[in-house]
Amino acid sequence: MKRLLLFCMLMVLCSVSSRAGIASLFDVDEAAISTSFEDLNMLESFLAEHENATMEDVALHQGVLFNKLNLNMSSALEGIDSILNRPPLGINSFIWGLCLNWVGVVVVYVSATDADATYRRRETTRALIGCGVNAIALGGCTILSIFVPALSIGLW
Amino acid sequence: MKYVKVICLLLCLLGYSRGYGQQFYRITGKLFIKDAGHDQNKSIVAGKFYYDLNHKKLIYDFTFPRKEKIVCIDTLNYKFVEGVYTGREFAITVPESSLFHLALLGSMADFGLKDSFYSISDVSKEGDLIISTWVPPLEAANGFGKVVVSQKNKRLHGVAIFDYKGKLLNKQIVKGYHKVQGLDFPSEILYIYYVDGKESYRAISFRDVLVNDYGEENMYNYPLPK
Repeated sequence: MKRLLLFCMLMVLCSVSSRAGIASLFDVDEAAISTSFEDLNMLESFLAEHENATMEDVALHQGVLFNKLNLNMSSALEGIDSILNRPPLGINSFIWGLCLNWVGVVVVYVSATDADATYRRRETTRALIGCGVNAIALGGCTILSIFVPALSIGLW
Repeated sequence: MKYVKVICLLLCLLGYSRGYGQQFYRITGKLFIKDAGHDQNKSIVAGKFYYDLNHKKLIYDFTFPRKEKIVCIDTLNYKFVEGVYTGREFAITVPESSLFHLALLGSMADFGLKDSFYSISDVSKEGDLIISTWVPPLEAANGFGKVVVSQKNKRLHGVAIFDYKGKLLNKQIVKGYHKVQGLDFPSEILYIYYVDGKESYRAISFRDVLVNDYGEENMYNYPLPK
């Protein structure tokens, strides 16, 4: 009986610890994050107050912060894509068909079943085009793989 | 007394119809994207965004560090620098998968996964978080990993995205929400990603968010070159 109780307790503990592992995914180091964004938050406040502020304005009024900035805009644009879209799901249907062939077409069709018919048809067609491009590329490679060795050994 | 009852009934019906009939179809606001890499490299981009469900065009009107408009439609991004069209680029993602689209449709709480090919494999509750694990179908398991979503007060709290080998790729935490005419929209999202095994941070904050706004009508359907 004691062993059974001990076993049950261990099971409960294991269950609790595994759940804690999942929730800890969303724990963040608030102090480190706060420090990282300290000066950027100040710049944000400045830019919020001065909607049309240019780089010159920022350099003039926030010189110290301005000098720390990397003004490579393209990196921030990548940021938009990574945050504001569902990365595994927002991939366009053509890519689905191109990369996953008929599986991609099925995935696109199934995922669009809740959408209206026009949308589903459009997306499935795109996936089919991707699938077609994949097939042509694969076929081309196969033909080349036959012809090139045949040419090289003088059979053609 | 009879009139009071009638008035109460009418008010209830009016309240019901208003609540039920609320449709969100467009959204705009200011956005700030702040990047703080582990290498101490920092950047900030400021501007406005516009999205309308009918036009399905997502417009970013950046003012800092330079004036640049980006119009995302379908799988193309059109760029305008200082008002001059400079070209278009192929985009991997589409506006229909954006946060703005999900928020307007009220599908943000589950990150839009409910309407995707992902299926739910586990749900648990810890403290005030409801955590759900979503897995791709077997056919796609070699390309996509699981997605773990946490909700707090029935709103999206965080998303953790794994690759198909089970390695954590990135996680996103919604730090707060605006309540605009009944619509929940994030006030700040923290994005944590890994470069050479080290954590880097990116934060996107939204201010002055408006829904179903009639101002700046021309921005929602920004004209594109033929």
